Amino acid sequence: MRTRKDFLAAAASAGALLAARPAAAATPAKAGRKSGEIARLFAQQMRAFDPRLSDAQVAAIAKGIDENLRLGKAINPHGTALKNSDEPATIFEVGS
Amino acid sequence: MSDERLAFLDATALGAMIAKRKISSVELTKLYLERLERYGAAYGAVVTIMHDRGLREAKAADRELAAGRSRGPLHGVPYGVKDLLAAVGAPTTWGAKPYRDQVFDFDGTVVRRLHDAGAVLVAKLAMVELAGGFGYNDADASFTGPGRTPWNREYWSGGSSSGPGAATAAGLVGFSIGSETNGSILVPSAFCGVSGLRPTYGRVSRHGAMALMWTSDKLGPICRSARDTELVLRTIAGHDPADKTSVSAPFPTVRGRRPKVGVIARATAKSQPAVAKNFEASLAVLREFCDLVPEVELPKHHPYGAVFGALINGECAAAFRGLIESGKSRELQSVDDRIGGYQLYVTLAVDYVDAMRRRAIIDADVKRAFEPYDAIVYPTLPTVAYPVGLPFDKAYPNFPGSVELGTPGNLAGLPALSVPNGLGEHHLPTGLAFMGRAWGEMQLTQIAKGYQSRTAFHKEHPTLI
Repeated sequence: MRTRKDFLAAAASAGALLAARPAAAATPAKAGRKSGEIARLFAQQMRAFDPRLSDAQVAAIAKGIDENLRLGKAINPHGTALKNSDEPATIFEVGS
Repeated sequence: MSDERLAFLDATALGAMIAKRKISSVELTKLYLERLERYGAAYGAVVTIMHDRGLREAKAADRELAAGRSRGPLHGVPYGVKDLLAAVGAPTTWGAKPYRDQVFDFDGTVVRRLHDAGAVLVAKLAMVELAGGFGYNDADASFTGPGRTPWNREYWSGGSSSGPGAATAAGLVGFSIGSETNGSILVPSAFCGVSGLRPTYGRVSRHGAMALMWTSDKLGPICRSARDTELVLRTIAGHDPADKTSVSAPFPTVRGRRPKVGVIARATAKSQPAVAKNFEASLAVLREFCDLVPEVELPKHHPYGAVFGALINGECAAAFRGLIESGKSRELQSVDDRIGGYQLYVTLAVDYVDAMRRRAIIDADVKRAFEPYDAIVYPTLPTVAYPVGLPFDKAYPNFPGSVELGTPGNLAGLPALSVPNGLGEHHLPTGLAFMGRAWGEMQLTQIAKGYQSRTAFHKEHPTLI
């Protein structure tokens, strides 16, 4: 896996795993385990960029990615759901 | 006047001396070049000393003055820029080994505007590599070594504008330019005991500056007085076609009444005792000329940290995608930075967009909460500078602080100013911060100048070793 194309293929697999997560059935513990698995998979793919990453570094990367994958819940805490009409702070503008 | 005393004057005073021909720009430039050589490395403050360009610009400044032409109050005053800003005559390293040979053949807009104002560029100043975007957690995070506060070399100068903070505090430049995405002007200003101004997002062009987070990057002055920050900001501000976020906005001031200053609730509850003591003493000074309103609350229910985290993750990973994919993160100084890029690389697009949606709500709420006030005052940080050699989170675990206005303020693009307000633990400086309304920088400098006219902390300087 030496190219960005290879990496993206692997990432797509991880994405499929993420998409396949049955949200209704997931308990917090199971969801955590699942995101951890996804994070580990992503982290291992980083050796495509730096083959000399140690196992300890890959584990640390996985921990960071796992935290990233949980950002969605932190951004959208219970009871404060964004409305469909809530637009991003930065939106595309057609120039003059 | 002794060279030592001269070196620590503020830029306003230096410019006045040059204008009155009490000293030439060349003499002053030589003084600062010599001090940069002597002290710059010891404080991890300098990347490149610009002898040729500095002396060339100084000679030109003196020639113009001799011909009766002055470009204004900064004419002939030597300064330095954080090494994320392009300037002809030196590499622009972004503080990081993979970029140490990077050269641009143009001046960033801020450098060009300062040149047009007659200022003299003498140094590219050290910084935390990549402005800290990859998640460093200790002071040893630059290929030039740890930044060290001139007040005590065993302690960090703060980051990521470590060089501008240290060089200004040590009297190695007349003033400096730093940058802030989330704390990088205010933190070194507090740890080094100088006056630093984070402008409103969009006030100053970033053309020629390293991008870390396009929606939060700002360039601003780090100086030895609040009046200097005002002078430098007015010089570098304004629309630039090369940065479409930049605008030419007016500079409103407080007129015909006492400034209304909100004191953030529980400002010092978990601060070091000296920070709390200095803050209370500062409030007593402010009461002399401001109307203070106690217990002002930050809108509490927003996930400020998570929102900022998702935004900087996504933008930083995109900004440095080439570095990450090249595997050259391995060359970075900080062990955390060597892997941090790979962590950022996996950030969900949906989280980034949701963070931007949440940011719009935060922006409106924060501005609404603070709109009644000309400034909100708080301790810049709950502690003095961290020791070099310890992870940041192990430095002062008992003093986490009880208020964090940096992230909300940066998410909303609001200006803030930190000035020194005394010494604390280990004889290190503490900082007093003012955050204002969008485009309200001059209201902040007005209040800070009032504070500095009644105190002398900004005139104290460290003894260099």
